[in-house]
Amino acid sequence: MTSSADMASVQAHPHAAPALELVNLSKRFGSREAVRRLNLRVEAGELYALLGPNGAGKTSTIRMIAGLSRPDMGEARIGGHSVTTDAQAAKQHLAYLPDDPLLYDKLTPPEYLEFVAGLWGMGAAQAAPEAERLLTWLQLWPHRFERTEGFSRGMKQKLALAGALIHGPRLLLLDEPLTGLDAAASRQVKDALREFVDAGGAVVLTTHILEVAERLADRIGIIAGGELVAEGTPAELLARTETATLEDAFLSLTGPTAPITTAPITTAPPPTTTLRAEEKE
Amino acid sequence: MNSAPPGSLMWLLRWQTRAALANLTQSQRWWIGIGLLLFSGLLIFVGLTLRPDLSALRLNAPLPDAALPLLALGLVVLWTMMVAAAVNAALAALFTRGDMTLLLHSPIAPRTVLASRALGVALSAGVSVALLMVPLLAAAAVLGVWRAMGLLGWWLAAAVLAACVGLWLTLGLVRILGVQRTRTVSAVLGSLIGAAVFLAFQLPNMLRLSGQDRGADRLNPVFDFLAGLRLSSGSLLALPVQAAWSEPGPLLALLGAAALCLMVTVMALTRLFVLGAQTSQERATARPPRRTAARPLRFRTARTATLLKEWRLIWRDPALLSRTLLQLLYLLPLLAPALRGGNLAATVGVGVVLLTSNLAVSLAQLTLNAEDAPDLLRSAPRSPAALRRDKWLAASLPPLGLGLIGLTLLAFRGQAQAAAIDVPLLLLGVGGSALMVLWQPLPTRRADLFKRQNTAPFWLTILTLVFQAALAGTAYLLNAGQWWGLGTLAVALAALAIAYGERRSDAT
Repeated sequence: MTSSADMASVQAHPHAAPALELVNLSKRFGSREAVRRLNLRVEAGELYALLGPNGAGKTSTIRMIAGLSRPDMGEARIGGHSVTTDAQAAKQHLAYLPDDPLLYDKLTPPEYLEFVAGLWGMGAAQAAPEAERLLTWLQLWPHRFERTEGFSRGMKQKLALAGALIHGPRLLLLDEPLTGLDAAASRQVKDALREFVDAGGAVVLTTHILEVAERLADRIGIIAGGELVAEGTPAELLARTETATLEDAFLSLTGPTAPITTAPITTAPPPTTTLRAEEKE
Repeated sequence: MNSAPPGSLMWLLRWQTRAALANLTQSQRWWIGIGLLLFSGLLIFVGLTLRPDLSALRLNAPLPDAALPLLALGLVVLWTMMVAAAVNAALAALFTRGDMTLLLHSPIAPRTVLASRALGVALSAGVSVALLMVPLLAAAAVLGVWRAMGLLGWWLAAAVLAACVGLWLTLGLVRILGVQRTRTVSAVLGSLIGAAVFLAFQLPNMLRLSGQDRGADRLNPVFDFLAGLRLSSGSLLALPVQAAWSEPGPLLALLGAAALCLMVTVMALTRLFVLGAQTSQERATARPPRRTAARPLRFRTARTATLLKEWRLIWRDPALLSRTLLQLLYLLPLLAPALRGGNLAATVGVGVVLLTSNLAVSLAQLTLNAEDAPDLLRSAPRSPAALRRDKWLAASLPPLGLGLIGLTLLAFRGQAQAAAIDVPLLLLGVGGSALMVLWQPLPTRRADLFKRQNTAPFWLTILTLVFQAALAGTAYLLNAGQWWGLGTLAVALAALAIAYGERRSDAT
């Protein structure tokens, strides 16, 4: 449900740089390696789910992509622009939505969207109708005069999503976007993501709800100990791990019975990763 | 080691105290330790030096009636400070600490929970005056004034009574206004009560000095009133003083009254407490729409949107706003020297520079330091420097507007030249003060802004004071026609230059 102008721009360059590319991305906190030489590529029109146990390095990865944390080594590129060296251009195409929505309690939804649109340099004349459309679509229009301090978690998450979509990003980064949402709000957020991807946008999300990943994601990356241990479509992951459910596949790759080393499990697109599980947190 | 049975009042109190101590930072603990050590050393030195000389004096004689009003006033001032602290502590203990849901769904009786919270509030109230009480008690002990040890009993009773007032006020407001509004109103009330004593003493002085000078020989209307009071040792008003002077009857009566008051408070307020605690977890009630017409949205440019966002966040938080504005109240006595000079232009100049530059610092701390969604700003492509400039502008424009109104009024009073002199000083004071905050970012959550651990470095506070005082001095001197005021201007500029030299960026 992004603006048609922005989506047209995305679709006009289908073979340009990938929406997201991570090259040897690494991050260390003291003696602990949170992310280790992570290589990953997400194309436009693709929904990529990053799964992993607690402390696997998912949030550290997402924060480095969003420019909130600086990698010790390697880099993240959004639409071909390095987040480290060309941050402004990279962030122009990005929207970041953490599990705790980035809102201001004392502002109303239009006031919040007005500020966010300004942050992404949108013209006021273009932003206002887009905000109106998003608020209506996400059923927040009747609440437009209320301050967000009185909103439920679902309403807050939807408003944050409106804030993420208002500037027509090419890449949506979501950290646990469905946590605490009721069925209706959850469905609406999932529909919004699918629609965004169908229109040519790319989504990278982390989630603990494996069912969501299985049903929503085009490709899944499983991260453990800061490393990508497996990557592929849900069907490919099941086939490679010879399991019946994604939960079994996930546990076989990250749980205590995970194999020490196996053959590479990556499917297209590159880069190659290996199925490793010797490093657990 | 004896331990209280789990779930008992003592057990709860132990947990509360442990949590309160855990909130102290490492450096705060160090400073408290060093302070206590130095203070003890000083006391021992003073005690050993003075005690032989004081041995001839009758330091433990009964208090003369003439001393009662002044001592009663001192105790009232201390108690007012405790009530202000108790209101804030009650608000935090009842509504803002996160453990209430856990406690109330446990099998512990709500009355026990409230009793432990009430004692915690009393402790906070007592600690709020510790900086005054501890030296007083320690000095009395060293000098052998054993009757002053009654202050300990008075302190205990006063803290408990202050806690009772705080709880009645906070929970009473819950009944009348509901939880959401009570949060705001009791935060404002806490600040106002704290300022009440100050207002009582300073406002008459300020009003008299600003023109109604009828009796410069009189010290202060409050003292005048006290001088007229005839407190005899048998009167009720004298009871706290006598209790503090270790007279057994009054001391026991005061302690008994405090204990009784606490019991009645806990018994009477349990139901309201549970109701308040339950509703405090609920969402704020949605405000009814002010406009219902289906008007299309109209947005502004990025800069205007940032300014509006900052101003809305300040304006819509009355508790924060009142605390910010009350800080200005404490500056009023600094205007007294200018007022005494009888020079309207100099007085307005000093007042405008001093008040607006201080307001700019307070607002800059709100706009530049207190940011509730820092990750949103950092993940946006807008340049951090441009954003900080807008936030600096948001802090500077309101005090600048207020200052210009003041100077315009001055110009209309026939002092256009003075107003013209003050305008650049106003600009420099407001802009420079806000810049000093901008150059030393201290990011924090808006709700945590007034917490002690979020204070600016000491050297910056001093530098800001020097800058503002020097500018105020310049305004006074230039308006009084003394051109060496340019020297104080140089001092202000030097302070600003030092702050610039020490600047650090918060851009990442």
